[in-house]
Amino acid sequence: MRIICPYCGERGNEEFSYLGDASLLRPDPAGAGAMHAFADYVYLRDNPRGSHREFWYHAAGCRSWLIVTRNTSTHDITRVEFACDVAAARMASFEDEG
Amino acid sequence: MADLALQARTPLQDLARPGRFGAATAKPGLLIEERTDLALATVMARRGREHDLNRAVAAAYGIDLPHGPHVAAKDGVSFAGIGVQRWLAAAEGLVEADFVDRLRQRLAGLASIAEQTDGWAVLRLRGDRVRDVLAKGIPIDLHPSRFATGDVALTVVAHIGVQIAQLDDRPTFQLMAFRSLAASLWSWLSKSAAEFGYEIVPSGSPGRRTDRITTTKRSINSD
Repeated sequence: MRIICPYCGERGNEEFSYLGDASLLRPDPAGAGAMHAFADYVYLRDNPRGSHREFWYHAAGCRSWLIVTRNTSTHDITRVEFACDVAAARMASFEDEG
Repeated sequence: MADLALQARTPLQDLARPGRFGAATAKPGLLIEERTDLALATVMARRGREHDLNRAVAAAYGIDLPHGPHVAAKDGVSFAGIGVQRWLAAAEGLVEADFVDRLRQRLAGLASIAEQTDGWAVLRLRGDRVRDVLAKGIPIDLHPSRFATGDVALTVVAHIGVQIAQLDDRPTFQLMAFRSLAASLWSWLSKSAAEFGYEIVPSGSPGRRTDRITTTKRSINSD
């Protein structure tokens, strides 16, 4: 499998390490039902067939965290983004919502 | 009371001695030079100060910071892109003996600077078979249509993290690894180059790094 790093270009997956699902958001520890929300957040994962957004770290290259959209049944990669850009966009949307 | 004399050593001092090695080919396929005269530092832009950093580097060194895996050089100073808003700055022949200190002053508040000068083994490689040697370990395509003068890549060779750059059209490549891994890198390089014959040439530049570091003598009181 090869990943097109937005900084380095196309590289083999041996240069990357995998973290997992990039769609998870850390629950509010002060929120209602925080215990159950954290158990879900830490332990429970879906096992989707098809498109999956996941974290990859370019450990042997530019050392960027990436969010890769990969089809789990074909390994086709349709999108690679810098995780910091995704996080910044999410923060901006939170601020827009007030 | 004992005197300890600490002597500066280059990363490949005991391994890469000048001479002709490997197969007895008519002409060495690879020429290897250990560069020991480079002042090195990483530069990481502070958040929100990226544009000011670009301007400060241009004003101080006449260099436009590359935004991507490329190297920009002028008058012996270079900045190589090694990640998003990160660079490796290098000064050949210790253009300024206090290169890193001055870099830190000039970019104060705009970037975080980390001295790397003695942290890397730096090799310059050229010769008719240089691409054939590198192809044995470098997993990226170094064909001239894909990797040209001024390009930089961080990748792995034999599980060793390396930085490679093409410096000119001859071509000359610069291969760097952390100095603690220098012997492992040398093991790969010397074996990969053996079939083509290789020559280790003395560092050609004046101002070897070891000359700058005066031998340190320290007395330890046995009491």
